[in-house]
Amino acid sequence: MEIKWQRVRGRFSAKSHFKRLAGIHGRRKKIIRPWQPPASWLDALDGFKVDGFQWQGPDDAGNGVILWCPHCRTASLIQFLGDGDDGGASVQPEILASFGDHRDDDQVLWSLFDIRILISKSFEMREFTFKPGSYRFAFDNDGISLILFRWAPAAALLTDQGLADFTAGALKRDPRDFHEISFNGYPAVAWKLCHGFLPRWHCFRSKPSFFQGRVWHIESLNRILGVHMLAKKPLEDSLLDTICGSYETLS
Amino acid sequence: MRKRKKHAPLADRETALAMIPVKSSHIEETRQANGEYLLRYPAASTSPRITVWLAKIGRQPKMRMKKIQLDGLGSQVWELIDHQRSVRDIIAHFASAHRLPVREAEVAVTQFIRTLGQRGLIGLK
Repeated sequence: MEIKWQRVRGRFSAKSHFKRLAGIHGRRKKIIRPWQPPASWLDALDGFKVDGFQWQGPDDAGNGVILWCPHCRTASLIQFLGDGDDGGASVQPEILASFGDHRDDDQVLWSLFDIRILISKSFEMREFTFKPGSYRFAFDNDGISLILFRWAPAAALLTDQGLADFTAGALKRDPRDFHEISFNGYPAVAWKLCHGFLPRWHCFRSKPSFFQGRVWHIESLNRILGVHMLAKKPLEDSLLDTICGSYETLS
Repeated sequence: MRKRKKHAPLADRETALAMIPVKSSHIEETRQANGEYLLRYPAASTSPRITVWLAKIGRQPKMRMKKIQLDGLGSQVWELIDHQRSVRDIIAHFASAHRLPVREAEVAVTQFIRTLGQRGLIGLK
């Protein structure tokens, strides 16, 4: 089984996707044609616009569907490899019914290497950096920048410095900006800063004035997680709590 | 602009991971009180281009001792280079010692080994 997906900008056309697929298969000496999926498939894929296709190559064959979800504007392709003669009867409809391309709570679960976070879908990923020992992901949403950090191995990074000094070095800030707290039972440092002396004029500044964040040390997994938020307007504590609560690292 | 020549990799990933790193016999290593290593190694005092030119006319460049200070993690990898463990073994050991994903440990360790190799501190057999 193979699944591919892509966010579609503008109008979706199954015909153009099919043509593109035909071109790819044609180059690989495979014949592709439209195909009517069985009723069990259509029932299982309720909520999607479904277009079936079948292909035949010199050594292999298969059938699949192009799915279009108007809610999240995602086009997905699911195809099953096989002889293609059974008309898809060998495929369990439960497999297709378990397919989903978005959550119903307007949140997105990001799962990257050993870290996971559930955040609002309005946060769009701006940049990411994967360096050994240091991961960084930046998201933007309506004037709020969210930066997630993950450092490892924590024991080596904290050999001759405390968590506050390490965080200050990583974020290039003064260690006195941070205060020590306990977060979910882990030793942590937190900060809430406002730069500038005219609060009402913050929105006219080109750079963010409000900074809030938290870094915590998960000793059992030898990792350090961090959340840093920047904004031009004051940040709500509940947003940081929600983000930190859903940010986790897996063993 | 001059195009930089693309060199084909000497070994594929699997072969490279199976190789055994060997320390150069010209290194003087000092283990410091904090467990970190200070390495001294001979290096040509002239630039690589002049060193090549001197070699062409049959002359040896002047040598001087260079120093490199390894940090805690680098020192741990250095200790793991015992002329018996392969690169893959070192990665596995490093990953389990620091509870790191193997892929992440692989990137870090191979990058470090490559740096040591470029300075002539180790070779791979």
